Amino acid sequence: MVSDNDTIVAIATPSGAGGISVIRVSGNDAFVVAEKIFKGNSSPQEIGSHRVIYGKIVDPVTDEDIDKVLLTVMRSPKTYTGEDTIEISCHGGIVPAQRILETCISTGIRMAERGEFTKRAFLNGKLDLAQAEAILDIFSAKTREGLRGALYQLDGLLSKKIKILKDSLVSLQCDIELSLDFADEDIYVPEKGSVLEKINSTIDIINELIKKGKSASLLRDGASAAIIGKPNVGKSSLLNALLLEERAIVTPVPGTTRDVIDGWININGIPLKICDTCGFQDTENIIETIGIEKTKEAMETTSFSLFVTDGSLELEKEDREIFTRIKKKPLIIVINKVDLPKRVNISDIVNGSSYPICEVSAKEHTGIEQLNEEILKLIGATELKIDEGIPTRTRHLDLLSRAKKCLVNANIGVSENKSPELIALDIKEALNSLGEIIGEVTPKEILDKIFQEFCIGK
Amino acid sequence: MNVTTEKYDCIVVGGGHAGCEAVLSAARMGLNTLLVTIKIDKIGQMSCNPSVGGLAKSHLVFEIDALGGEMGFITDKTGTQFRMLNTSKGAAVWSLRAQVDRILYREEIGKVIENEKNITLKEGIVEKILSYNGKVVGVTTKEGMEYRAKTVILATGTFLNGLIHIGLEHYPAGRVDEPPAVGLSHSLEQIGFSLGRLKTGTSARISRKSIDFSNLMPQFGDDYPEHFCMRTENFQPEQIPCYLTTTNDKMHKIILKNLDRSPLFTGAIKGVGPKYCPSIEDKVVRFPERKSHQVFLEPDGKTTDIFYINGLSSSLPSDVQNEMLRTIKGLENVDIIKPGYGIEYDFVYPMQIFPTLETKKVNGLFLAGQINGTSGYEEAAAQGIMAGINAVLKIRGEEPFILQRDKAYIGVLIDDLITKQIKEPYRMFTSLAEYRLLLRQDNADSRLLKYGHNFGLVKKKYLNRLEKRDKEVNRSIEKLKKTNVLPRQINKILKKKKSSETHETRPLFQILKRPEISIIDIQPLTGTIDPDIAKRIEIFAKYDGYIEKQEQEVKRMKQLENTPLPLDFDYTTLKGLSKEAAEKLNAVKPITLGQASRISGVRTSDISLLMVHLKRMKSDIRYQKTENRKSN
Repeated sequence: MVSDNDTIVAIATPSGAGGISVIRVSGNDAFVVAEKIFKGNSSPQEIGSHRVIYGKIVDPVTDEDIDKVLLTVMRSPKTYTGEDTIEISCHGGIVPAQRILETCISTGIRMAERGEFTKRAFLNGKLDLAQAEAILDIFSAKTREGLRGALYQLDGLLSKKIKILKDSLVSLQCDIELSLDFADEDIYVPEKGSVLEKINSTIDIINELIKKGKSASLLRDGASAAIIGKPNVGKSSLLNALLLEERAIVTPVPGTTRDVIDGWININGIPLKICDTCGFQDTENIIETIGIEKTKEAMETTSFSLFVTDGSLELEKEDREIFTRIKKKPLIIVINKVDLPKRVNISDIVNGSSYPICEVSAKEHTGIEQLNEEILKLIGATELKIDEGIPTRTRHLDLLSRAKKCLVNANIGVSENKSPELIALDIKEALNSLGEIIGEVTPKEILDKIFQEFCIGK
Repeated sequence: MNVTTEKYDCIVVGGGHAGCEAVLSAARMGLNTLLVTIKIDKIGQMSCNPSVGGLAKSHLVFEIDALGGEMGFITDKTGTQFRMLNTSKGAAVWSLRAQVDRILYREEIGKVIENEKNITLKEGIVEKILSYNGKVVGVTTKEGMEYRAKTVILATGTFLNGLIHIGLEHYPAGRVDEPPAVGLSHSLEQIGFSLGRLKTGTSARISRKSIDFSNLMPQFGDDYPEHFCMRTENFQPEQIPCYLTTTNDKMHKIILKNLDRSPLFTGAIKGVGPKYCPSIEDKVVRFPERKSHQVFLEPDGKTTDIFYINGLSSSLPSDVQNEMLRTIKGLENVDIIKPGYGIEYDFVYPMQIFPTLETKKVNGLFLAGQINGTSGYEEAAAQGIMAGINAVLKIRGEEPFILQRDKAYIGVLIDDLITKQIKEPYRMFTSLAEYRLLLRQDNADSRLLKYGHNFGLVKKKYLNRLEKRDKEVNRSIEKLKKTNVLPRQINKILKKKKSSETHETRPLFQILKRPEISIIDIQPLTGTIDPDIAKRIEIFAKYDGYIEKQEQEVKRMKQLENTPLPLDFDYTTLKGLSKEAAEKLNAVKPITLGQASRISGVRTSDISLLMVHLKRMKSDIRYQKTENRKSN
């Protein structure tokens, strides 16, 4: 029988840069594998649980030293997966980790499937569904704030909140069922007003959660912006000023940026992806044509634009043309080069409409703070804070919306004097949706989908 | 021991409501059956209140009837009052309740059984189950008889090791004035069944002559009573009233003063009683804020002096019961004919049976009724007919008859029994049925009659009549959906019913969906419709959209329901299952993933683990097959 007893291995840290890489092995044979490939002061099979041994990884066939490592031994059941686990911390970079991984596999264990460690943790009862998803978030959390949201969810805070919601609906459901199943007894029947009140207060809580959740997904997924403007207005300099690093090539020759260059910045904990574009300049140059296509694409995939003009020049036809092309999307007008005498007259293009305007000098790094604030305002993140259980996944938000929809139906039903068994049905459906968030009534297809989402190594 | 051996296809032990339906269905399907019961003249006895049906229980009676059972027919014939409950709510929770003449009921069902040609009747106390190689072969009785059969259905009610409590006195009995079955409990334990103990109770029977009716509120039957059975014709029962009175503070004080003489509160009774049907001493202790409780006085029949008191089940000593009752309005000079009592009895934890009601341990041995931990005549009868049918199918070697939860309350009942842990007597509630809107008493025949007919328990003419009716209902609904009415045609009616007026042309069906509009209101626009058809159209209109929603839910769950699980699998070998889940799964041995998902203590993660495991097992089986081919 192919069972869940087999042992799996994967590199647990992101590929590429980093001081160390971690290779994780989980399963019945984890310590056997360690014994075969590790040489250190003590034996992994004999050492106590949750201990670290210093030593080296050696190819069991060629006897060649691969890397000096720290080996962490963790015994079932108090491990992430619930199984026997070893973690090998080796030097960073791709090569050492890859070689150790290959060495592990050469001992007869297999490569973990996507999300398999977390799947095992879930199946071994280590995590509830919301917690399992939070793990995913930790690994894709792009900033500190986002990480905090994920950690809170891991603690089961969201689960707790949902449970409270569920409890209040269960008590309402009880009242209604009571009136249906014990109609022949002289029992208390809930009044229309109090039923409505309970439904509505639950809707309010769900609304609040959805609202916070939407902000939170901004925290997790971030927003994105395209820097757009005619050549040589300082788009790349602006990107660099925002990124605080030399990323885009900045030269005074128009059309230097021939590709879309992007980078992540962190404004008050919100990850913001910024794409520098080469503009829409008509050109015969094939490379630049490709760049223009990419600019159009960046325009479509980002949530807003930073329209950059050169403050030291008067507006030209090209500025107007670009502005016309992008003005349907939210944008901020950035007047660059304010360190030079100002000649630009913005009112020429805004045509009476009001847009947020920022004056900056990318070169001198002035006005960048103000620009950051305008960006936060534009994406509606000025009052964002995560300090409690908040649904951060689209699936949670969808389920909350579904629960809300059922409760709105229930509300209408009660108001229209519909029969209580119909109200009960709506409330039960709302309960099922809430239950799905914390994994209590998850149908098969959702589980499959969730596990596909897990990145390898966790 | 002088042993006489007689051979049958099926032996039914016990002549209560489960036993009656079991023996009748088995015999009518052609089995040579034997009914062994302690007292033949107590066949079909109602041990507790003289009524059949009521909330959710009436659904069971309609379902039993659609399958070709007897309970509905006898109730219609011997009923003394019929009332439809919950009519202010939707059709899914309407429930018919009948008061029944206890003596007539017994007589009538007794006659049916006596006249059934495939049934042999014997008096006796069954002491022992005979089995050989894990297969049942018969029973022996205390009187020294041995009966052999291919199948045995135990429907022993409260008789298994029954112990009656009245005050601090207690004595072994199966029912008042009848001996218990002590040896049988022992025999079941010897085979290896695990037994539990439950408690139930009944209230005092009083003399009609001693009741002062002048100040009591009578409760009459419906003016146009409905009936249970498809075979009932010209239904015009002569109805008699029940009477309503209440308990009072003075009585509650008497109870509290005498708790030291209550077997419930002194710990003499160990079995667990039903929460939904507590004794009056329980009610008074647990709800001290209630200053009075409802009490119904129900006639035991038209020709008898006996009245039953509904709502005053008690196991207090008879002198206390007497003192209590005399504080109640109308009962100031009451004569108690028989005091109420509590009874403890053994039951077999129903996780030990399959959904066919056959035991997992002994092939061919079926359990039905209170022995499975249920309470109520209707719950018992429902299991009886299912056990009878499945015993027949077993002997014939045919597919078993299992009703899914979306098909019948009977399905919900049995699935709950074999899946959930029974800790108190189980009774039916509509809230236990997740597909409640689909399982109505009005459509029990549409859901189940075809099965009854296939088994030969329902005559063809009833199936024909049903099909004709359902077609007519569908046709009328289609017509109403296509009948558009102008605002000026309908607004007058809407205004009269305080329903918001419409400004657009709408189909009549749409109008009928409104809670405040009945089909009678729109009769001027539809023309006359047969009342029975009209009632059904209206139900579909009121539930329009909701029924579809439930049907979708059924479809969604089908994947789990249709995934079989191996019966011989040891779940403790499956790594990753929580210990609790593995133990529960081993105890229940669910036949489908759907059933597994309903076991208390089995979590979603356990189900997903089972799914992973099953998938792997399947690929493993394929692998083995190719291996075999290679080696061939």
